Amino acid sequence: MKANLQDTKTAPRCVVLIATPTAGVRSQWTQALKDMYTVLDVGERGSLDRSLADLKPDVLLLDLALHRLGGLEGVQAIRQLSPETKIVLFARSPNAKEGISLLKAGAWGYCEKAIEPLRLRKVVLMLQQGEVWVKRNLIPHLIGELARLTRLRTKDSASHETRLRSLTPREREVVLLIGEGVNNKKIASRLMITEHTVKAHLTTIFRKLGLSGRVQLALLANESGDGPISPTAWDDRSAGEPQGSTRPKSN
Amino acid sequence: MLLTTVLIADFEKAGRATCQRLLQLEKKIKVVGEARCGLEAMTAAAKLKPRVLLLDPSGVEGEGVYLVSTILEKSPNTRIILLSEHASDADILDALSQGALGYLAKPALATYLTKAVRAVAAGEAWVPRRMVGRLIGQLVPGQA
Repeated sequence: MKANLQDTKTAPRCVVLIATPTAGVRSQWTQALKDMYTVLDVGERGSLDRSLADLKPDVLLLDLALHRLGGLEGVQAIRQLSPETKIVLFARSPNAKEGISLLKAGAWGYCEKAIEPLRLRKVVLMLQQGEVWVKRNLIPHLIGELARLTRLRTKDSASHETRLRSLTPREREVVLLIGEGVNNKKIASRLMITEHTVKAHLTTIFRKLGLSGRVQLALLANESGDGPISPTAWDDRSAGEPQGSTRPKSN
Repeated sequence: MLLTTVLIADFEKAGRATCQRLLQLEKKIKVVGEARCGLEAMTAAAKLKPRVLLLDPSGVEGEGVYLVSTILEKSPNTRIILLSEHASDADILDALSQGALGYLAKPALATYLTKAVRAVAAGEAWVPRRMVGRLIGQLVPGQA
């Protein structure tokens, strides 16, 4: 840790880097923190990158106004420069959507730029204790996001896969043919059953898979890729999204 | 200001009584019903559409936590607070991932119940501060 940057009498102190284009905010925040931390500040993007790489501060208080790269990539770029630095982002008027995407990108905090000095001290303290800092009103949105992802995961894997497994071999044959765009009459003759039986199979398949029509089923059947598909190969597929739901962000 | 309607779902009589007693004193909170098991909680929530549901999942057959998503399907605007004697962080995360907005340990009821009910009714969450970090951890790709 950099104990001797500003202050040599107490070692080792946590290094906080303040990055905002607003001079008044730089001095206010520095005043608020300097008795407890080694505080440095920068006012432009270029010196931010340099300072980060050189100093590897423990905490970066970053004004989004300075941080033109914005959201996700910006946070990731900073984390590459200095992976151990805990980043708190400040917005003129914070909103839930931005906050969630920044936190997902690896930020440790997100709050309003007009934060009170005393509160700022608390933010840095919390970070040191390994906690994140978000405003209370962001928490329900975080929970909502978690619930949404959980629903998608469940839909994608468990429920969908088990539904596919619930098909009989004959029903799978029908699904494959539908995927090739074969009509009921031809399916009937290929499988040597009556058209009536094909329709009965389809009704069962729709019910089991929770689909409402032939097009959805064809889409589902074609999602299994270009490789050879056998009725049993259905057991191994897991990426299907028959109902047009959005996929959770891939890793 | 509108009344905040509350449904109490706890298989233990003592638990229901405690909640009743604590909420009775509040002018802007009205307990609209009680449920003694998971099924009752589900039907009562569907019928009464309470603003807040206090749910102790421990008395429910099987995985009580999954009651949360089922109830939310039937009454999407209900905010659910889980109550339990003791829950691990993982239990709380489970409940939140099902859509619950709050968690309260039963020993803390006397101190926090009315505050928690008011908070979730107003759209806030009621979870221990330390859960926020865990929550974000769940959202970050690759860590979930």
